[in-house]
Amino acid sequence: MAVENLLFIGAILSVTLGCLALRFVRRNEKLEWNEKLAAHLICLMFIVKGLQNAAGGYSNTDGSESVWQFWKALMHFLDFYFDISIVMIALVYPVPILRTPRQLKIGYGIMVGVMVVRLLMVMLGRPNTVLELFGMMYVVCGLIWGSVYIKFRMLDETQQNKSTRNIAFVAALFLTLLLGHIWMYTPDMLFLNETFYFIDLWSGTNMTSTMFDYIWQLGHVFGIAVGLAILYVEIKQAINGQASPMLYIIIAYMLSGMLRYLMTSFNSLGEVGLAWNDDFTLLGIWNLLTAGIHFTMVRPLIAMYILLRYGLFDINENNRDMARLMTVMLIVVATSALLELIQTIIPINQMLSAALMGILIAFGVGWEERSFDTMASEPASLREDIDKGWFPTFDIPQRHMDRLIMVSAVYVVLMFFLSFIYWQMNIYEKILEVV
Amino acid sequence: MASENILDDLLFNEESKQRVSIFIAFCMVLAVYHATVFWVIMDDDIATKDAMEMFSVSFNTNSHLHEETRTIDDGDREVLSFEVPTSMFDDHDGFGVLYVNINYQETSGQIGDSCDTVAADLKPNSVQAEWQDERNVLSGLSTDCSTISLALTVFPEFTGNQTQVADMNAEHWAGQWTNDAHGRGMFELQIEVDASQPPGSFAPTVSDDDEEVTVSWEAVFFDVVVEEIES
Repeated sequence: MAVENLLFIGAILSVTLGCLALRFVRRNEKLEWNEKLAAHLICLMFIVKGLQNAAGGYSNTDGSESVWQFWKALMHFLDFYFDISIVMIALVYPVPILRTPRQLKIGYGIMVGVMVVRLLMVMLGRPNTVLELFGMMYVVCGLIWGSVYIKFRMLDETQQNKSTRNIAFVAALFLTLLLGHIWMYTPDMLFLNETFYFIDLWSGTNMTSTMFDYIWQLGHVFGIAVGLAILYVEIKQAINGQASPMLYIIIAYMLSGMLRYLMTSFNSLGEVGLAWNDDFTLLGIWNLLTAGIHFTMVRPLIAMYILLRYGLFDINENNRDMARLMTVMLIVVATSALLELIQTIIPINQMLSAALMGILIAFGVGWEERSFDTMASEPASLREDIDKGWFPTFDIPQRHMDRLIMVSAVYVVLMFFLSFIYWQMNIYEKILEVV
Repeated sequence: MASENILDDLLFNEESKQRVSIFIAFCMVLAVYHATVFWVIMDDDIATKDAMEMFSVSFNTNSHLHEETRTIDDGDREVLSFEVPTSMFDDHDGFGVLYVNINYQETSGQIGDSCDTVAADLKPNSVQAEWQDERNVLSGLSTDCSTISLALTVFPEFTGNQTQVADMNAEHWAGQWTNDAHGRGMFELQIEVDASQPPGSFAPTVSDDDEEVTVSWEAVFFDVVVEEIES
């Protein structure tokens, strides 16, 4: 049950963050065109991701009846939105790869085209075909953000300034958000472990073809390559006396992956139930506390950090209280959920856990007071002392952003309806019978 | 000065050309490595990864028997307790099902005295068992000296029959059928006797005011045997 609970917590966090952040972003008139696009897309992406997490939670619990088809379909179709929107963000932020309105139209047009092809296949009753190019977003985002990161992180010391360091860090944060769970697969991929090579979106069934699985894994391979590149660059820069928090982040992900590799290589260790709680295996708990938390808690928190730290919110006297409420809410939900999760696995006395939760939240809120003031009062710049050519200027009217929100809402409603049809018509069960 | 083409700045710029090119080349090397493993080295394993292994799950059963005789007065309700010895839990994988048989005869010795009425009720309590299972028979009544048979499923989904399961491994399925928590504790059987009076019971020497009841407890334990089915 713990995995499902975590997915529901992730859903609450993502939807709350997305909705509240969207309110701030829409009112921020200081944003440049690329920031405006990225900020709107981040918010919308997390609202949809939250709904997807909830669908994932329900699909794990409703395994026996045909309703699983509704939740699986919803989860899969909403993931299309995450896929497309994350690539769209990579194309414009932190530095715009698309530099003219024409390039923007072509680039975004291609992404919309990919989405249309996916939806057409779904509507024709042919989901999970190679035409979906599922996994390609890891390749595209990995190459874009990876190149931007290397370009700005490895500048000569004389050419570096706060903005170049910020651009590299934002690119690395987005890579962490997108690829963090994949970095944990690094030893599995390199040392031919089945855990990696048997990755399958529909494991245990023949729903996906071998080519589909290959493309999906290929995305993971690019993710791992980016992770190794970041690890190399961060170690090199740390030796040169230019350490960054990214070094600790990438090491944490890689290390947790190595520990998981140790468990899966000696399968029996991961399979054995815990001495004090037979419902969990060591491997299950490890996955829950690493990849599970990455998907549900770390992702929204990274997005929140980027929005706050890099000026995508315009925090002023009118909305400061609301912004603060939002961060406190997220800290309290994340802290209490994490502790509840640990309590499910490890038998801590309830009084003790209540006291622990109080202490952790007090620390969290105290930390929030200090860090929020720093972030809100001095947003970090990505443009200062950078060649203006990196940030071409043109205008995107707010009405286009409103249309983006409207289209996203229509997409979500349409996906609910499509999933309902998949359930009522037993489409997945029929596909599984045929294959 | 940056141009309209991002590639000029990322790939064709002297400062970053080498670094970004190495990064992209590294990605390609890993992609080739992965393709080689996926399509050549592990292709057979990957092709059969969804072919599920099948296992047969069967049970060797062993029963612990206990019998107790009690004389219960007319109109009285008595509770008999039964607890399985710990050694049974240690020696077996699980406690599958509990059977209780209640026997009695008309023992008054009076001519023409018909069978008494005996009611038995296995009371749900804190012992971990499938108290709500549809196959349970937790209460019974006899008016003709016939045996009252009660049954309680103790281990979830235990029928004693051989089954087939797919996927996972033998250890997993053996683990699913190994648990010594089910059935530990004291079972309680409530018995009530309503003695029928023989003809002429108005005479002081002719009466039926109790009954001797024999209760047989049978605790069925099992050891699970999981075998892979060769395809």
